Amino acid sequence: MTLSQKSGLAVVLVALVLSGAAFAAGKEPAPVVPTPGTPSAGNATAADAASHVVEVYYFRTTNRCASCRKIEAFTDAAIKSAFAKEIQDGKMIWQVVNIQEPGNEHFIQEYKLVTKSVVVMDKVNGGQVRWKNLARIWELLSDETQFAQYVQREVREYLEGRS
Amino acid sequence: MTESLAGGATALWLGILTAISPCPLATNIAAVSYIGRDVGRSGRVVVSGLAYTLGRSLAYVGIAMLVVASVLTIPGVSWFLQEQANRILGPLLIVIGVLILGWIRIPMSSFGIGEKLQKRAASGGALGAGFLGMLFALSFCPVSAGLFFGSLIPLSVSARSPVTLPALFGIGTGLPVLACAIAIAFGANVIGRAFDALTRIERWAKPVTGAVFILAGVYLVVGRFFGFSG
Repeated sequence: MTLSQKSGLAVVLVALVLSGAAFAAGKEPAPVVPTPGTPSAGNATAADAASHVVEVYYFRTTNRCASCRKIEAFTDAAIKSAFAKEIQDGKMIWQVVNIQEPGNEHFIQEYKLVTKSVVVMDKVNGGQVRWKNLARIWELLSDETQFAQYVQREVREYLEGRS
Repeated sequence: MTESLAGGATALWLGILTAISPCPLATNIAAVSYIGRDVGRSGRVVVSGLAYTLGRSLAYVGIAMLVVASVLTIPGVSWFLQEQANRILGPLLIVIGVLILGWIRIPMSSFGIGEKLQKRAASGGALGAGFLGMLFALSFCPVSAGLFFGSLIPLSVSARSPVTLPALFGIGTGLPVLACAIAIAFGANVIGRAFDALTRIERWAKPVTGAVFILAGVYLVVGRFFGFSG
């Protein structure tokens, strides 16, 4: 490689380093996926009026990695394939929430979120009585069947009022 | 005793799961090329690999001790490392790659510091590999954050093991990288000797490592723009 070629390549790399440093200075990357128009968690819905509602949330960020999309897809399939009737009857709510949207940051402390997470919660007469972060989703990511069984088992325990 | 063994095995397995997940692929490839580039000196490859694994373990033990002692909150430190450490990792890999290739000279060289840094980055050695292990361990991606902060830390807290279990987790994250580096270095050594081309392979090992670091860095920087990494 000639000296001028090296210099040209160095200029390109310096530009990349500087653009990376711009992120480090606090610039957020542009959202890749538009924020869905789903209502934020905690909003009063018709289902809240029921005595017992189970809510399942996938808390995501604006920047979405391949594994994060996989978790969302696996959870969506697991919930919709096993609990379609409960969702239709208003006994269950399944939502995806972007915790980096203004007003949603409080979920991080509220549910002790360490990364993108699936959280299941019980609401009785509109008030939250318990919740659980399904931490094992990251261990089961390579096996969709086991992943679905784990999520469905945990959600079913909440639906049936078992601890 | 059985519980301790089960806890240790779980910690090790969680570490291996972290290493083989697609999320830290770019840094793993960079680590393999860095550790395995001393093709002609098998002993150095093993020592560098062990130092890399030790560096990772030290980083995880450090975080676990701070979290267990409640100096840091788990969500706070997890999100900070996922966001901030990953922001600087891409540019840093590019800089290290360029230093390995010797394309730029650090301006502070008149004090001797820049020159030493440049030589350290280029020659590697156990210290460089250990530093790399710590750096890569601290650059959490969603999978490693989920497994470390979501599964390993609660396990460490319940087992009252802020050192052993995180250390085993670190060993687990280093093992696949160590195995790949040793396999590649030994393989290249055998092929090099068989075809009497070891010197040529050794000569190419350094530029290849530099190029891998630059490509991994570019992947991470561009990935942040387009949202396919992190």
